[in-house]
Amino acid sequence: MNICASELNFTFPGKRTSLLRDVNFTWKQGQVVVLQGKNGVGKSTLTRIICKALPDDYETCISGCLCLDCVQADHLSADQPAAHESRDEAKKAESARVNLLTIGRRQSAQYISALFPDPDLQILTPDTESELAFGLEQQGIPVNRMNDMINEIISELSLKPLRYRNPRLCSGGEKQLILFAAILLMNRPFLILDEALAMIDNSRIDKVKEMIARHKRASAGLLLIDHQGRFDDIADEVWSLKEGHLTLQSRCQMRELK
Amino acid sequence: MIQLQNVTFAYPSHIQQPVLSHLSLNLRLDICTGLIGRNGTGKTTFGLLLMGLLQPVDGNIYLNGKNLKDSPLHQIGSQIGYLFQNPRQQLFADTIIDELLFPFTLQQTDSCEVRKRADRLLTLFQLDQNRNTNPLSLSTGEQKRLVLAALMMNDPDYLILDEPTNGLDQESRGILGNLITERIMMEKGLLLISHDQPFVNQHCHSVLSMNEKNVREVACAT
Ligand SMILES: Nc1ncnc2c1ncn2[C@@H]1O[C@H](COP(=O)(O)OP(=O)(O)OP(=O)(O)O)[C@@H](O)[C@H]1O
Ligand SMILES: [Mg+2]
Repeated sequence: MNICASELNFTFPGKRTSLLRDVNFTWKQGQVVVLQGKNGVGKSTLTRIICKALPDDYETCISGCLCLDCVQADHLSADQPAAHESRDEAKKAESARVNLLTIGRRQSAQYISALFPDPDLQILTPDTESELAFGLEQQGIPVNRMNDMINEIISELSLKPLRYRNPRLCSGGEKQLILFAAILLMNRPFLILDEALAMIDNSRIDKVKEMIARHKRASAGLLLIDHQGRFDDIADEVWSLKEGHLTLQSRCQMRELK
Repeated sequence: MIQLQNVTFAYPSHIQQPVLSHLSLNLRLDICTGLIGRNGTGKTTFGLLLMGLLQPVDGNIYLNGKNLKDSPLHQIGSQIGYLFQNPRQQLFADTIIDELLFPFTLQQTDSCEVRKRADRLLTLFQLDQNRNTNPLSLSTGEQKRLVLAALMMNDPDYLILDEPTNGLDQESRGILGNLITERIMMEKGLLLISHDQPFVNQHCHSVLSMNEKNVREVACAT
């Protein structure tokens, strides 16, 4: 599966200049993309368009094409019920591309999940364990398997002391770790992390990167925004947004970054 | 000077697991002190205690010799400015410009001079383009800059900044860096809570490192 944008434009209501101008990209499953750009250039607006997180009345402000191409649906990992489900969905859509600009939020959430900078807005449940179980239950994963998966990710990210705590009453970095774990367990083909890991301390960032890389190998597509540049070294592509235009950094520019 | 004497703090929901226990230390108000440490070790809690927004379970905190227990919050707030880790929690107004002006409008101390100061700060923090924008629609980095601008309206003696560089691009980092340098020249110090090691090394005269057990001073680059 690919997410493709062509000639994507966006202008906020009442504004003269467009925030996004003729944006083109192809974001593939199994690809880590780092999106760079200064404060206020529209990175988050772009990610919000992709995952349908903008208010409905902004729909008229968008023009161009944003589609999900399902040609490579068979590459989805087959060992998990969720993958089957989304593969079936994807197969249905195989002939017709899915227009991401017109589908509903629920359908969009089958393909793309996203985390934004403010964890307080995304915590759903009153304890960490339920927060982690939420996505697994949605996928219909059997209870035994679910417990194993939760135990595994809790030990991997050293979240044991937080397991029965209320995520809302945790520290900033702890909240982001819990949501990161939860979104990985949701197991969607595309994942957006928009400054959602900024509060995580350096002692755990290598672990987080390792998990991102593993997720990618399990054929997820990831789109990351991070002002500290902490994920540049695991990027397959670096996109840069400037004055409305999105450009792909060349390979040698990327090497310089590393 | 801020003095902590044998301070213990635990959140009511976890009263048996204190975040800070028997902590005694002095903080100079005229230098930049860094506070580093892993997630969940209690850095934000420490900052909130200094602001009087949380009260120690045991022990005392003195600000320039006065026990915080005896100081009303607004008095502490007029001396110390606090940038929250999540800036959204401290934005109240409907527009950027009102975020700077509303305390003055409320107290009816709004004046030509106040407006000029607001204009200057909005320019300094590069927020003068969209002054009628709703603060909640800004990006994290922009929200941080806005809160900083609002804090500077009062020109507090001391600043506590909780993860100030999060979400800031290189240019905004530079603006923040300049602000810090300028304030230190005026001997107005600050506490910089941060995971951003290069930024801490660049600006702090002294660095405190917090872990699950205690707080200790660590060697520093500057
Ligand atoms: N409102 C609260 N109620 C109960 N426990 C809390 C509350 N806020 C924080 N805690 C807990 O207190 C401890 C210290 O939290 P604090 O927010 O001070 O950490 P921090 O060092 O600022 O972490 P971070 O680097 O993630 O911001 C953590 O274990 C946290 O889970
Ligand atoms: Mg904190």
